[in-house]
Amino acid sequence: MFGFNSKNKKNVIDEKLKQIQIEVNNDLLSSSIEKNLSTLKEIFVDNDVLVTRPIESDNKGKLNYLIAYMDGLVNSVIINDSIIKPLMLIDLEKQKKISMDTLINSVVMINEVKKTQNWAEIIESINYGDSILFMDGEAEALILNSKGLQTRAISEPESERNLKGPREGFSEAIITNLSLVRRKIRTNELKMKFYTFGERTKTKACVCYMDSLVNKNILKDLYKRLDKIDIDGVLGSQYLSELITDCRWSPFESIGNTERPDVVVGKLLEGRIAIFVDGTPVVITAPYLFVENFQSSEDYYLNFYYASFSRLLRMLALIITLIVPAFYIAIVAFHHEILPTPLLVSITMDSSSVPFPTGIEAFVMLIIFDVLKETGIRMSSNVGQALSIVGALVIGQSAVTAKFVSAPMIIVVAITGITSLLVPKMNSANIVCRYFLLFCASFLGLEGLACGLLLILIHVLNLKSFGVSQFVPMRSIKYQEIKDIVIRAPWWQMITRPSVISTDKVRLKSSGENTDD
Amino acid sequence: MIKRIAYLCVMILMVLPLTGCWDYIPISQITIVSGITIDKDQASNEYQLAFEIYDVKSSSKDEGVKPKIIDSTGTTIFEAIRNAKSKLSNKLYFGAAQVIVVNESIAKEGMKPIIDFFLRDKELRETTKLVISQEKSAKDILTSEYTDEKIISTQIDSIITEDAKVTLSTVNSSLYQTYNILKSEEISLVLPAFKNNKKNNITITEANGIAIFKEDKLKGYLFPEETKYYSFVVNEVEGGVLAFENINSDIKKISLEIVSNKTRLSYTYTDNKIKMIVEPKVNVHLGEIEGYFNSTDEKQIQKLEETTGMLLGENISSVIKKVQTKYQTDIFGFGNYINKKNPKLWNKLSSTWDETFSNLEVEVKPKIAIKDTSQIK
Repeated sequence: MFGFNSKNKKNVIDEKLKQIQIEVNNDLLSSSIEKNLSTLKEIFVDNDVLVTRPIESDNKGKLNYLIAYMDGLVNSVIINDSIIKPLMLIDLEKQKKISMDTLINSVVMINEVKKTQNWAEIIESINYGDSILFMDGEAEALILNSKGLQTRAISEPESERNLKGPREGFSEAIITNLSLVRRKIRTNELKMKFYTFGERTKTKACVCYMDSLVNKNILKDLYKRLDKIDIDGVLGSQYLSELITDCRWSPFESIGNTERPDVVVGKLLEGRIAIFVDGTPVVITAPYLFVENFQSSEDYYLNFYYASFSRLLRMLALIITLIVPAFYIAIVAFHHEILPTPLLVSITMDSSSVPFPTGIEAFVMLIIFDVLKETGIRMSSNVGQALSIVGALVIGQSAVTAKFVSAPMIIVVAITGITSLLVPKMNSANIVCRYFLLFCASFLGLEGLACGLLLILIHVLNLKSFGVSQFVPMRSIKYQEIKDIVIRAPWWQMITRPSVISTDKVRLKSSGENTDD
Repeated sequence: MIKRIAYLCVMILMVLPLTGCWDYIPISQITIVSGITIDKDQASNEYQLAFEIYDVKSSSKDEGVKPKIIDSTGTTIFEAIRNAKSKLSNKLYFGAAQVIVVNESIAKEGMKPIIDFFLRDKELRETTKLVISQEKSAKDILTSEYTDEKIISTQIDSIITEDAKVTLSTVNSSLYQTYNILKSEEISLVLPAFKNNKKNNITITEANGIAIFKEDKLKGYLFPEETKYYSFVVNEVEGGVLAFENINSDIKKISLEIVSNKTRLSYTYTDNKIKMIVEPKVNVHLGEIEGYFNSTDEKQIQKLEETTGMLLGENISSVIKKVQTKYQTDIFGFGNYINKKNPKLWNKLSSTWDETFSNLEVEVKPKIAIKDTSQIK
């Protein structure tokens, strides 16, 4: 009985909501303030944040206005000084007829004003921090820009620190973020096109590119994919990233992301496209080449020898973090011959009293390491200290003394863990591939490892980002193609842009030597 | 897509049967063998094997790994190894075995049956060293006390590799080299010999020259000092010291440190008579002098070079003579050299080479060059 009732009730509410929706969509504004107010109240029923403020301008004549806005989203100073004050002080005798246009042209002191007759538009802007001004006798309303969002200050992004480069990072407000980019590229070639995603969140996003550098086919492809998106909400750029990516199931990234304006500008200047999403400091860029996993913004600010070295280190770290646990298992369980005798004896001594097979041991230890790492990231920093003690002592020292795990295994896990931190952009790929290789190696030894690596290699070579093969530049051995891949060439050699991405090839027009002849 | 995945699976599956043998043996379930000794019980004609293993279970990290000896017997070597397994919980692992010590009485009967198993076995390395024991039982070598290494096999291994370079008192010989030499007719086998030396109730094993074979049968030994001159003939000298006495009225004793050596062989064939010429060219540093010597005087240096060269030549000649008369087996590889230079001549000589060798005229023309006198100010 009860169930039937509640279901019935729910249906009724649903229908009512639907009705309002239809009205909102079809109905235009009325010329009576009272009616508009009641419609507004009806739309925002049970929504006490909405502030409606009637104003009577009594200065030699009488006119009624109504201001509506969302509390907290607006800047009160603007509303007080630039909207309410001029409206109250308006000299009605001087004006023959007060129309909406007169208000726009000579009364309200607001930079961005828009006329509308549509309720849907009103709802969207009122939710974005604009104020709505209704006037008696007009079937129109003004959307006045009075946004006063509280935003975070510009600070250095935690995830991408650097020593010598700029320290600014994106924040959550899209306009601020765009301004950070615009500040670095002062040309009309920089295009910024707004999009709105999310049926309910109505999140603003901005597609940003350099008109003369971008590959138009890639841009067209991107628009096509963006147009297809129909989702109820977008809270972060990863939402879009996963919706428009080429290889949906791949653990490897095919769309880049960054929190740094300088990185975005660097990518724009190579002909890539950036997508800003409101409410997140993370900006995504496309197309994405495999080598971008190893690039860091710091590379371009430091001496090229050092930068090249650290880039090579990152590549080495990737190989180590993927292979080391699997290689260890393969050797210890299958190919003892590889080990030099003293090492063989020492490993045998260590693992002779360990209860579990090496494969399971490695698996468990790697999981424990990942647990520690995850807690380290999510915990507040106060707990961090306790965590490191637990990690170092319990997992390391005590586990070995208690003969749960062998000491070489701890070393292997530690090496794997440390090196994985060097390529943070490949976290998901790291985890998937590492456990996959571990699985292969513990069944088939080095043969399994080789097969597993082959599979990964085949997959990686097939990766695409907006139709561009992620490995394309590495197939060529021309110096200009690989100058920014394995090494970071000095800037005077960075003559061309990545050929697959940009249409305009030459980046550096003066590459001659600096000699005084 | 399904087709592509199918292709991929076929490709991967094809890789598996193409590989060699593999098996899952956890490292904690193997017993690592470091050395093997082979004796034979003459009465029952059974092989008596002793394995030196790394005793990982009862040794601690601080003290290092201790060795342990496991005995076993069997009609064949393979069977003896299988029998040893019954005394252990884990499988014997031969991948890290460093030496195989063979009793001299077995060596006198022939080496071929001994090395056959070890060459066929997949685990044992072909670089494992083969050693002849001069003790009554080869096992005694493993039960000697250690000096610097706890594992006797490791010690024997490093004695061979180091001594072959530094003191020239033994030679380096691995399983595969032994097999290659045994297969060829032109050269005879030599293997390092080891014996126990008892001093103050401590038995220490040490290298004692080389064992000389004819075909695969042990004939006799060369002393460590003689082994040095043997090395000059076969051009295996990488270092070492030459010491001479009574050079002239001024110099009583002298030591020369060998820096490098290159021995050139050549032969002459006249009137159906073959003559070998051995020309070692030795570069030395002056190491030590007892007596008066002016190292700035060119003439004195030259004279010293000549006298020491002569003495070296005499020593080498006497070793060659000993082998020719006492053992009549071509361990110097003269036949091998002739075969390489002139195969037609070798075809003529090969049938009577043993006789020819024992009567062979060998001329030794050493040349010593003192490169550094290390003058003391």
